[in-house]
Amino acid sequence: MVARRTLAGERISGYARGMRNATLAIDGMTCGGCVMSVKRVLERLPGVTALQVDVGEARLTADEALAPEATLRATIERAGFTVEEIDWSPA
Amino acid sequence: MDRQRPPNLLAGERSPYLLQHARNPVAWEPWGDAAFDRARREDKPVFLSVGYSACHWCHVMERESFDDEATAAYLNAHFVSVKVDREERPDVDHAYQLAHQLVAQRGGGWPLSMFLDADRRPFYGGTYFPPAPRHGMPSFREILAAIVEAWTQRREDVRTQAAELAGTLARVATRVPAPGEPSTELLAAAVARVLPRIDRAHGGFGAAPKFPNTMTHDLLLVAAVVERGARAKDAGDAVLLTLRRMRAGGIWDHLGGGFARYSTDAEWKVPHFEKMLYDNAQLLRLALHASRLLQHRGAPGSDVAAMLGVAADTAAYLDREMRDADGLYYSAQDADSEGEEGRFFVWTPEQVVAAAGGADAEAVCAMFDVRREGNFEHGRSVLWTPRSVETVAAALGLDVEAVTAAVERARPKMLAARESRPHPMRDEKCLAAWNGLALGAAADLAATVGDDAAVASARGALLRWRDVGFATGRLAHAVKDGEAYGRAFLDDLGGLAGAALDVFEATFDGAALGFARALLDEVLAHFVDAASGGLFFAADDAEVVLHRAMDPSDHAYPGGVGLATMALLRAADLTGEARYRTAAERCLAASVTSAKDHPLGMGSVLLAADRAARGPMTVVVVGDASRDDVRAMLRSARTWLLPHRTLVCATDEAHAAALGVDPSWMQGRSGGAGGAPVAYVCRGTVCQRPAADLDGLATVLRAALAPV
Repeated sequence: MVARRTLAGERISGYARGMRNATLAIDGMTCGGCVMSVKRVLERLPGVTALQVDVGEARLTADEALAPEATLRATIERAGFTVEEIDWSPA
Repeated sequence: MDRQRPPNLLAGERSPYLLQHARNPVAWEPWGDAAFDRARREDKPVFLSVGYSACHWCHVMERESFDDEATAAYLNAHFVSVKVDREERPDVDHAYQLAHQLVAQRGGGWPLSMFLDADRRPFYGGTYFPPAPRHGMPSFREILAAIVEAWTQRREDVRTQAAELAGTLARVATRVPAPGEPSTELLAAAVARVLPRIDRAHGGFGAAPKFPNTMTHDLLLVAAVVERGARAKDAGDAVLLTLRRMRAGGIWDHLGGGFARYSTDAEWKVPHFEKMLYDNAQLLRLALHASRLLQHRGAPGSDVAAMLGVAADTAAYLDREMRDADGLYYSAQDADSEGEEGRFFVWTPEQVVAAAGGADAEAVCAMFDVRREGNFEHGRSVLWTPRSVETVAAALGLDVEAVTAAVERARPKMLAARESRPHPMRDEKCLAAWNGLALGAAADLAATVGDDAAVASARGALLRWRDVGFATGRLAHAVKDGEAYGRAFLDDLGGLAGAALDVFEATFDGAALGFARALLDEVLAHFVDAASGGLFFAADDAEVVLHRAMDPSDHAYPGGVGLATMALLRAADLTGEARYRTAAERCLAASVTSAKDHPLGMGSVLLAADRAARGPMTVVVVGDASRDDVRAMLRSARTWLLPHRTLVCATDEAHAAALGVDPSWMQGRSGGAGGAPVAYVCRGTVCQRPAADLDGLATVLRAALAPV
C-alpha cells in the first residue's frame, strides 16, 4: 500500500498503479495552433502530468488508472487529430 | 443644499455622490461600524439610502426630503441615517437590492431606501418615496412614522421580520445552482430565445423605457458569424438596426458624441440624459464590432465608415470629457443642470439661430427636429434625426449636399455654444471595472484604425492603473484625484484584466500581459469558492455584507463572473497556462444553468461559455510588430469580426516566450523572406493555410468564418 497525490491534489491510497511515460505520434498537426489545441485537451485530463506538445508529437506521464491509452486516444481524436502510435516507457 | 449649513459626516468622503449630500440637514454617516455602533447605543433603526451621482430620482428625493429641515429633524431624532454610493460599494447595493426584492416582491432601483437593525439586518424598504402621498404611494414621512411606530411599539414584529428576511436572504444569496457544462448549443438557444423579443421597428429589446442591453447584442454579433443561414443574418441585422436607430435617436448626443443611459420611449427619442461610462464603453465596442460585421458582409464602404464613426465619435467624446490628466476615465455625467433634466442638451429654434447663424438654422432645425413648440419640455427640443437627409432636403426644396453642409457647419458651432452653458455635474471617481471596459474598447478601436496616439494613451492609462491602482499588489476599486482606494471586486479585476489583454493585442507589450496575469492571479487567490468553483463578488478578506454573494448576472454592465471568466479564458489561450482555463471552466460550469434560463440577463456569462466551448479564433502573425508591413497585416486582421479572437505577433519562439506568450503558438511557423509577415489563422482545431499578404489573409479569414 502506498499513498500518493493525484494531479487534483487529493490524497489517495491503493495499490501502486503504473505511472508511465508516453510518447504519442499524432497525425494532423501542422502548426502552433494545433499544438495549443492538443495541449488544451490533454492538460485537462485527470492523471496527465509533465505534458509537452510539439507539432506531431506529445510526451506526457500518465496515471494508468485515470488516463489509460483509450482515453488518451479518444481525447485527441475528438479534437480532430489522429493518434498514430503510442510508445510507453516506465516512469 | 445649503452652503452655510455645517457639514455632516459625509464631508470627509471621496465619493462625489456622498459629497453632494454633505450639507444636507440630515446627519448622514458613511457606511461603517461607527454608524451601526451608534444605532445600537442609541437603540435606533438605521435608514440606509443608496444612490449614485447621475441618478435623477436620487436628486429628486434629496431636494424633496433630505434637504427638508422638518424631515431631516425627524430622521435625526429617530434614526441613524447612512448614505451609500452604489458605485463605490456595489456589494452593499447588491445585498440590499436583493433584500428589497424580497420585501417588495418586485425589482428595486435607485434611490434605494432600506430600514435596518443594528446588526445590519433589513426589515423594511422601498425605493423612491415622494414628500406627499402620490399615486397610492405613501409619503416618505408616513413611512418614517410607521417605522418609528413599529420600532417603539412592536419591536418583536420587527425582530421577527428581520430574522425571517435574513433567513430567506441567506438561502437566496448563497444558493448554488445545479452544475452544467458550457456548450455551443447555449449560444444558439439564447439567440433563439432573444431574437423574437427584438423591436423590429426601432431595434433594441422591449418597449418603453428602452435600455441599450449591450451584452445581449454582443451575443447576437457572435451568432452573426458562427451560426449559419437565416439565424446568423437575423442576429446581425438586429444589432445593426439597434445601433442605427440609437444613432438616429435623441439617446445619441448629436453634437458631442456618446450615448445617454436610456430612452424613455420605444423609438430612442427622449433619453434620460445622464451619460454613463459603462454604456459608452460597451456601445463603442459594439459599434466597432458592427463595423467589422458590415465589412464581412461586403457592405458599401460608406456604411462601414458610418458605423466605425459611431465608435470613433464615442471614443472622441470620452477623450474630450471623461478622462483625467492621467488618462483614467471618470464615471458619469449627470442628467440635470440648472435644476432641470436635460437642460444642457436641449434647444429652442432661437438658440439654434444664435449658435449656427440664420442661414443654416432652417436646415439644422429640420434635420434635428427642433420645433417651435418643442419636441420635449418647456418648448425645447431634444436633437434627433427622425428623417433622412434626403427627406429633409426634399421638404425644404434644397440639395442633399446643401443640407449636409449646413449641418456640418452648424455642429461645431452648436457644440461650442453648448459648452458655454452651465455643465451637468461630472462624477470624477475612476472605477476599475468601468475603466477596464472603456480602455479595452478604446485600445481595440485605436489599433483597428491605426491611431498610434490613442493606442499609446490606452496603454498609458492601463499602466497608470498598475502603478497607482495596483501599487499594493492588490487592485483598488477606485482612483480619485490620483489616489487609489477601496478593495477591488470581481468585476474590477475581470474588467481591467480584459482591458490589459486588449492593450496587449493592440501593442504586443509584455507588460500589459503581465498585468493581466497579476490581476487574474488575484482572482484565483481571493475569489474562488473551493466547493463549487464559482467566483464570489467580493474577496475572501473583504467585509462580508450580510452574505458572501455569488452573482453571475449582468446589470447595466457585465457582471464580474462574465468578465472574469472571459479574461481567464483569453489569458489561458495566450499564455498556455491551464490553471486559468480550469478556473474559468469550473466557474462557468457553476453558472451556465442559470444563464440558460435567463439569456437576457446573463449575456456576458453566455459569451464566456461560448468561448470555452468553441475555443478561440487565433491569428498569429510572425513578424516584428514595429515594421510597417507587419503592422498592415495586423490592422487588416483587426478589421474582421473574429469570434473569440486571440491575436499574437512575435518573431519566433524566444520572442513569444519573452512576451509571456506560450511559445508553442510559434511552432512550425516562420515569417517570410527578409522579415516579411506571415499570418497563421486557426479556429478551434482547424488551421488555415498561411497567408503572406493581405489578400491571402482575407481569403483564409473568410474561409474560417461562416459564409454570409
